[in-house]
Amino acid sequence: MDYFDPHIHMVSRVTDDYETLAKMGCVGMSEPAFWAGFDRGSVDGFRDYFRQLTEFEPKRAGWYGLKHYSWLCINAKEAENVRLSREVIAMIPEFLDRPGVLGIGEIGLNKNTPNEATVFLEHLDLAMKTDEQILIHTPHLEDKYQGTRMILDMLQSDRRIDRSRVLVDHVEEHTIRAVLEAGFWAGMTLYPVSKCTPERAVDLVEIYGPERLLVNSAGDWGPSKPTAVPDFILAMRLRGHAESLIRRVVYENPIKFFSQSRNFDYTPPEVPETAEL
Amino acid sequence: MTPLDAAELLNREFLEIRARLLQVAASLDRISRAQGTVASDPRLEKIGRALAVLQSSDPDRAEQIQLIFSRPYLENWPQDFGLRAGSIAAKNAMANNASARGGANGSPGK
Repeated sequence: MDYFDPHIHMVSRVTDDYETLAKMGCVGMSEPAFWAGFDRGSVDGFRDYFRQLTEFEPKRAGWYGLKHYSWLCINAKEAENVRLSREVIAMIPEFLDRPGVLGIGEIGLNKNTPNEATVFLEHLDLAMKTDEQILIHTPHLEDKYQGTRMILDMLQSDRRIDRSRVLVDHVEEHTIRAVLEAGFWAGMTLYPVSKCTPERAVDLVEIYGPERLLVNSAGDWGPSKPTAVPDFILAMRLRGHAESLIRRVVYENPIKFFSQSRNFDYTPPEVPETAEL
Repeated sequence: MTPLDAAELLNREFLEIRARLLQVAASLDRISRAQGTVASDPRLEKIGRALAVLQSSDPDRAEQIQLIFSRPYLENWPQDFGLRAGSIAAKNAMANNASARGGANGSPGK
């Protein structure tokens, strides 16, 4: 089945992973900017990273017929350096008109600190001034519930924000309802230990339905599985769900959400009814 | 709603549930056998509360356990952060007014 991975960090993956994803039905992915495993020291470090996201990764994906899109920001883990964060936020517009750049992300909170909230609000302001979509990271483990509620407070207090253009990612059982009821998109991330498992993600589809729901691998440099979306597809099938429902979650929903970005250019492959020999 | 009925799901998942319960039991046994004590460790108390949730027949046991392992959300967090009272609303009201005038301007504020 064709699918998109709406959240995967391909800069951390080898080229073989692109090939594997293509073989498993992936037709494209979107890659949010994130933490490199260490705090970067300068705005030029981010400029180089954004070049990698917008120049080299689309090229690498293209070797296997995949479309690669990206989101730009300074990650919440580095937001404690507010001065550097502001320099990066001021530099981001240099890249916003590049092909495949879908918006601002993954912004959010990590340990739910005042500096993180400040930098999050300033990213929101940039997104509103530049008319960009937003992809949001919610915190891990014990910080997730508190941080998600704080993020929703900040989003809902800004009347400029079109909620249908915001994806709140990494939702789980205790955060998904508030995100969907507020009118935002929700992303379920499939991780081996933390976040969701494929089976629990299927549970959430059954409880909340497929509307404004996405599923992703968030594959990165840590313990993660870039082929987690096919795991979800299999889990849905084993649970007896229709192919049309699965396709909606893993293919049609990402296209519907991404299509609100001016830099999303995707043409579905034409599939002839019979092969021409 | 899942297309499978309850009996089909139990047949499918019984061995996995059994295995995971044994894994939890063995982990707790291992901690008990080890030297020292963690009786006052708050994580152990949370584990106990989570196990109690499993005994219920509530339809939202996963959500309840998630909340046991979560830090609480406090509505007055902006004030706790030392921000001005209502600073987020005030800041966004300014932005909203600027948008209404035909476009936000100025530098991103704190």
